[in-house]
Amino acid sequence: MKFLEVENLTISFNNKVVVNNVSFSVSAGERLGVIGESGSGKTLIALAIIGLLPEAATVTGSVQLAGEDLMALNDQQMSAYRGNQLAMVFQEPLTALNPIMRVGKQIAQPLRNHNNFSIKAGIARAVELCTAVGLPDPEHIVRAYPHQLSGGQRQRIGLAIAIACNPKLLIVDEPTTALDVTVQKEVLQTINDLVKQQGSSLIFISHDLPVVSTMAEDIAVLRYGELVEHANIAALFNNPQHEYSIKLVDLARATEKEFSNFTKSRTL
Amino acid sequence: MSDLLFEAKSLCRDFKLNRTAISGARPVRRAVADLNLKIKTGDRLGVVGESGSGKTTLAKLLLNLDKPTSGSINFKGQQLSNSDMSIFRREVQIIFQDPRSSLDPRRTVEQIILEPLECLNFQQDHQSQTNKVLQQVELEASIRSRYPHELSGGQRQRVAIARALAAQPSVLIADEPVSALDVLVREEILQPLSELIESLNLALVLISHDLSVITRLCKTVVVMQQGRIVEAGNTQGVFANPQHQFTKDLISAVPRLPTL
Repeated sequence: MKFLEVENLTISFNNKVVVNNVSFSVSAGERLGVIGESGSGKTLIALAIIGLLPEAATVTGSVQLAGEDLMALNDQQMSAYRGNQLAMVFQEPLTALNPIMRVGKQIAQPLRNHNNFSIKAGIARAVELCTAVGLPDPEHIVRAYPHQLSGGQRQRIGLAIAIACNPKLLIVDEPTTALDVTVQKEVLQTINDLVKQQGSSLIFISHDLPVVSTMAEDIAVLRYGELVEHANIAALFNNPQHEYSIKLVDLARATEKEFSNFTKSRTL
Repeated sequence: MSDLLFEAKSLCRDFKLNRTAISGARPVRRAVADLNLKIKTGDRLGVVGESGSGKTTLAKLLLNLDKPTSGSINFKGQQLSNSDMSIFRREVQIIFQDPRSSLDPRRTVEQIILEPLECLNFQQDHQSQTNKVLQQVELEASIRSRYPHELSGGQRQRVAIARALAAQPSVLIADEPVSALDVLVREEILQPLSELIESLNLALVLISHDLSVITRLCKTVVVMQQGRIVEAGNTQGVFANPQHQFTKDLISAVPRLPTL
């Protein structure tokens, strides 16, 4: 029995199927990359796992976390899991954070909900978490509002909230599309370190193959709501099966080669 | 033929920030600082830098959508000003980052492309020019009657390029033209864009934080940090042998494929 098992997950809106019969599993400590273009259903699968799909969605299939069927839980029972056993970092930190609450309080929120922290202890832990996600001057940062922080800092706050309760499964949805390359590199490194430290499983969602390949051991390729390929990185790069995976790998290789040509004297 | 198009001399643009104390002076953020730049016909210039480094402010200044605090910009020897801009507006066109917000959702593709022709009093036949630019960006003529929401992301961005090309400009300014698109769709844009710029002998100013896009399209590159150009030169030379620490950091931050 794997840690997370998604079986025959189908999501539809008004009888229009957007995720079709997707099955995959993630073992404890495994890092899975999910890749696909916009509209391929990546985010919906993540939302289905964490139980945050919009009400208009019709879902069939099952999501099991450590043997517990998450789809069978009601809202209240799911809340006990969310932010605790499993947590998610959203794509756009500016919309994921509450604009009128100091970020320290937002980081403390899951601790107060799940671990009965007092507000004071929660903020104290928030300072530690800010240090853990690589934010400078954490005592000041926890007093800031989201608009006072840069994009990279906001994304680190989102990460701090997600890891506050040491989740067993961390889902990260395109965490760096809103960020610069230099900041992206640091944020990815931080996520990698934290996941390894805590021994959590990771689902890393992105449309960028080079980014995913630095973050995951296995890659699931989505196309028009269907899982078209699921392989480890070496297999995917050396022997991609599906036409879409072949295109992705070829393009990544070509880009890499071209870029290497430009930076030759450095890399050789 | 390499006529001088743009010449920017000690260009500065300051933004006043909010007062921090009731009686204090308003602090000033210098978004573009003492910048000198020349763009000639057929130049393909990449502008790279982090967010907040002044890339987009520079683009706005070049487009005369914003005024410099000090310094000057000349276009074909004439200083940019408020007076008769119609020639300038025709010659310099922009492609924005996100076609969902840069295309009017209530207009058809045809209306979108006709608009610059109409308001710039384009002399040749508008209909045939519309067909021509759609062909140039590899869109079918049948797309003319459709609305932006009916198109895919790549098609929308190609409509934006067609609109920019419609009035036969000599300079294209592209602000992160592919960063809102999926990786495979980026190819659909970069390939025709690259060929068009070559065949029409356009000057290109491409703003991007994605260095692989810059290497695809640009012959020269300037690296900006905090409003200043910290490094400039031939793209190959700058990327192969970066001098400034910031350029080195940028290059090493590009995600690389694992060696398998």
